[in-house]
Amino acid sequence: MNSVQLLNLLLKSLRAFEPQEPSDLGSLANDIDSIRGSLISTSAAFNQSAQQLWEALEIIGVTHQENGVPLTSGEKEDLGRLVTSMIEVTIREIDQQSPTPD
Amino acid sequence: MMGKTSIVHPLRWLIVLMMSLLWATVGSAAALAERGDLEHCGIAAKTPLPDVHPSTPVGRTGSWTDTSAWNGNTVVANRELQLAGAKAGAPPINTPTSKGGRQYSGHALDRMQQRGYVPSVVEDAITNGTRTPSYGGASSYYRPANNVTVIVDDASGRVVTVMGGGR
Repeated sequence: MNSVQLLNLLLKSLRAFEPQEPSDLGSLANDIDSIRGSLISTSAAFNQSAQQLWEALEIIGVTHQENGVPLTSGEKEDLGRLVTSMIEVTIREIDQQSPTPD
Repeated sequence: MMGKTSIVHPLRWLIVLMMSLLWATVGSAAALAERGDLEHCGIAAKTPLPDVHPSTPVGRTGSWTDTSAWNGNTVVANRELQLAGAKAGAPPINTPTSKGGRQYSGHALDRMQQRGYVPSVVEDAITNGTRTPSYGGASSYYRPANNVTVIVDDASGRVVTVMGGGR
């Protein structure tokens, strides 16, 4: 699987993301971690956006999983904003990494 | 006939004598080995083999099968082939613990075991790594030497999670 295919997988996960339960957060965090680890080279903007989202997912997910409390509306908004930003940079990354037609 | 018998008899006794010596040597070596007195026999001691299937995962640190729960330095539970943190929604295998005066979430311990990071690597990242503000009053510490990022809750100093790589 090449980098564009991996980025498209990530894009699919990001678009399907609906933060309702802490477990939803863990799923996307794992996807980001796994796909980032498989990508050889990515832009600084992509790395920064992915890292910010991953950290937020992990921090919120761990806190709620250990305390057993539901996500707050503020946290859902924050995650929605970060995911939207991540979708944008992922689309740009796909465009950059897609082979140009001869 | 008499001459043939006189030759066969000494040979028979010689063979019996050699077999007796060999039997005594092997028997004493095995006895020493069982006692653990390896200096005198040079062969490994017999140790009782556990009654497990040969394909049973051993759960070495850093391997993907290592999802054992810790209590201090003692393994108290093992889920073997279940990769820590990989299954969405799975609760942490480890419980929150203090190591070296530092609090760790159960999830952070799962991640550390999954990736083979010992607490000293995490502590080194916090002490010497590059700090970046993270989400919700937490900080991210990246240490290039070990290529590890540690997320710490600023208020409590507790390690929330650990990952390989950085920004």
